[in-house]
Amino acid sequence: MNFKNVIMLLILSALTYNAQTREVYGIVTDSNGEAIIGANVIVENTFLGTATDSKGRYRIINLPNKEYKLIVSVIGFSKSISEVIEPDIVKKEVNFQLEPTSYQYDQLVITANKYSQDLRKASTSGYVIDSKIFSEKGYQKIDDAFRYVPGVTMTLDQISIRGSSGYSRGAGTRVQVAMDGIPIYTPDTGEIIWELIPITEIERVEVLKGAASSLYGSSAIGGVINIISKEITNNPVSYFKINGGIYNDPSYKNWEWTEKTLSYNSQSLSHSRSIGKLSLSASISRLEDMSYKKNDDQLRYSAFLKANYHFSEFTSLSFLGTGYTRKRKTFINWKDLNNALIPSDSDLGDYIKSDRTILGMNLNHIINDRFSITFIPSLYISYWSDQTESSNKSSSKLYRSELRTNYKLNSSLNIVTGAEIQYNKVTSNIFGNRIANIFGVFTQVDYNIITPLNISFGIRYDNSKLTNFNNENSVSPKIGINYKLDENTYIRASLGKGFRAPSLAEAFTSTTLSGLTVIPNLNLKSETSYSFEAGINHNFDDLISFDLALFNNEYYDMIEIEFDPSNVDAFFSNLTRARIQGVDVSTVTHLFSQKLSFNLSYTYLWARDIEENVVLKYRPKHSAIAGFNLKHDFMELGVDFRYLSRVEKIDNELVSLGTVPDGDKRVDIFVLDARMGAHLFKYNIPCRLFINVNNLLNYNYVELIGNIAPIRNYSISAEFIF
Amino acid sequence: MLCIVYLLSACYLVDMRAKQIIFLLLSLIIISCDKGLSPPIEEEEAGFGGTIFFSGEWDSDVKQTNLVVFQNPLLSVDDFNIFNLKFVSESIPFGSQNYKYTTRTENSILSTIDAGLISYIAIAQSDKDTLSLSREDWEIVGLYYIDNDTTKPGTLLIPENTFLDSINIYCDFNNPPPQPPKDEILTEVINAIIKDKKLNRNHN
Repeated sequence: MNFKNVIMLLILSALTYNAQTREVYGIVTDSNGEAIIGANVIVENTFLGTATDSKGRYRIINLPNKEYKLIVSVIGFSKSISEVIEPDIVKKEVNFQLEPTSYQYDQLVITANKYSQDLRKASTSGYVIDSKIFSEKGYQKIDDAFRYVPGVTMTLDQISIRGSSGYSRGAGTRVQVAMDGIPIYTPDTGEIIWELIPITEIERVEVLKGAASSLYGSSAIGGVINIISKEITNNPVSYFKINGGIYNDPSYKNWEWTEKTLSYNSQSLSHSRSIGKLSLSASISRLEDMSYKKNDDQLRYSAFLKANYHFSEFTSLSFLGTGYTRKRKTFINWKDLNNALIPSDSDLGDYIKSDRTILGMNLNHIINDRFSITFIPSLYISYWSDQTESSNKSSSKLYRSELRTNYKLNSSLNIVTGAEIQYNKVTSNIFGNRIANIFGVFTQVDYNIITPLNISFGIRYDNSKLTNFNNENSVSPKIGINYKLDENTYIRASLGKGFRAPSLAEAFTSTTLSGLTVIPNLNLKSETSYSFEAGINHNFDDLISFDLALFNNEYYDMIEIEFDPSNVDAFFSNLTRARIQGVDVSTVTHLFSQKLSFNLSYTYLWARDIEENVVLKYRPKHSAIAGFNLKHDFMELGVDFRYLSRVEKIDNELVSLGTVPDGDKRVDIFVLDARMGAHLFKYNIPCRLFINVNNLLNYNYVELIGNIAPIRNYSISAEFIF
Repeated sequence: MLCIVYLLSACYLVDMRAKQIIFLLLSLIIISCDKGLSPPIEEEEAGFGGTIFFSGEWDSDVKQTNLVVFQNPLLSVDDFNIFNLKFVSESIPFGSQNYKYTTRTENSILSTIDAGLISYIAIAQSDKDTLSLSREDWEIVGLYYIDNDTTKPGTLLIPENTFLDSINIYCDFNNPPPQPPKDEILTEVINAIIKDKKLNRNHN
């Protein structure tokens, strides 16, 4: 056989192979035969998969030449697994009819370990927020939803998972938040700007509790939030949402500061479609909020673009861009409790103008059905300026790249390995001209040793460097187990080390704001933690899901705000050797095929500086969430209630020095939200209407000293899909 | 409220387990029915005010007209003491037909009114150019009475943190009320207070 013949034979083989490409297709419906949109259809133990389109259809080609099963999962329905499909079948139709599920845990996949896995099989606690709440609950920002996640507290816009954070006035975060794998903390302050995430484009939000630095590095010391954007549909879909609301009059005449009716409104318009191998989804939105507080109004314009290009069944490129421009007046704290909705005289007229943009890509290549490689570069561009006495302004960029491989040796062993590099550049009068670098490499192995036992082990090395600071190295290992006791019971435990490098803001802030002077601290070090968690999940009678977790987190060199007693300057320092222990208990009950559901959860937190033997600031000891949702025909009714015990410790220095007059005034928090809505799709009207009353009891409370939380407000929203 | 009605309705629809959850939810709602933070309660200054009505011709010799308030009744000379005198108003303009007054003023010559029983509220006139509280220089031209009972001075009970209004006083120059007993010591003390107050005003 000469060389030409060999080539011919290879070409013929290739043609023959292509001609025999295996294909599976079908439709996914519910028990009423109605199409389920966005269901994930995965080829078991491979990276092959797709999502159903607007008619519930799916199609997967280039299947491996061997036996396989399909797994279908979507929120609200039980997971379904197909029968074994034999290798000799070239083209096969497999349809699925999914049953509504009674509990959350069997249906969800999370990406805690940077690949999809069942929530109940993870070694750490997780919680999944379904996108439908953003339609139904009238939220303006994604962080509004976190107030109803067990174990999560919000202090204004700063998130804390299991007491990981107090309140640092926008400097740094202990929870890493990423959208489609792209972290979204700002290059300069290191805070999360929630407004960058368009709530109309969210598919689901995964909240992972506990240190995750072994995989995610710095800033994941308290947990991780992964936001998954909606899949782009094959068929053209347009979406329009309009929302409007008004604030109630304040509870007391003393607090009335205007005779105007204070209102807010927002509009979002999006369109998605596929053109050949290119899929596009774009949206624009506008929000105007007069606010219930004086000098707190804002106007924001946002844009979002997502594009996917499928080079082949094995190679795809996704692009994600999101940004906004906003002007917001400045309300730092109230004048005093007698003028609770009016800021200090010095803040009147001040405002902050900000423009922020994130651009990112996700290049994914499936080398074979067991090995894939992903490259995620991103750029965060941030600019803001204020009109305070210091005229602060900051221009910054964060370049980040992650290269990750995922190797699935067999159904028992999964290995994720990757490297990340990050470069921050900041030009600012408040932080100076600074550069920060982080380099990290990580690997995580998940091994199903025997059928009921999963073990995961991960380790990450990070090298971080801030201008004027020494290099800091950190090794963060983590080990976790998950054991399936029986069909309804899973137990889990994990032990890991976390670390967080100080943000540029924590190290270099130099400004005066509302009478408070903040000075740099060039001796700041990274903080570290050791986290332990043990939990159990059990389902009773297929009706009630119960989850219990005990956790213990030990923090070393914890970075907190400190006040110099001699001149009252504030600065960040490694103040605390802290211990945070607690219990998370939650239960969800579904009755009458999910027409009626209840949820109840409680978190106990014991958070102390164990050197000084004092409570940590801004951590409520008790928190509880309760709610119910009732569906009848096309109507829906829901109530959510949350309670947080009075925060024991605050920044007392700000109160005693008069920076925040009456700042010590705070109470237990009781908030009741109610909603009622109609899904009109059943009547061939492509519309969903919801009325919301937030803070129905018009209960006055503060999350942060000197800041009354939103008073009762009424809103109506309408969504049109066509 | 609407939600509570819905919750109660739901109680009848669901099983015992759900009822327990709803009960818990209701309990939480009920205990949260106060309004949380509220403006600090400003304690109202105890006192009173009203209108003084004058009838008859003003005596052209009158130079000073004042509202004076004593806590205890002026039954004897011993009742004239500085601890009993609670209020002396600024001078009422000559020729007034009516005059609104309040004890809640910074213009008074003396004001130490507290909650409790006030037994003697009178309008006193003097023919001296400068304010003199020498008993010989005064004449009581009006008294506060209750329900027009002119047989005895009217008393006034001021509750804690309460300001009483419409405490009106009628002065009939042609029909003056009974005059109280005289006391020189009290006069000296009051003059000392006036002098001290004037010094403070000049200093400021």
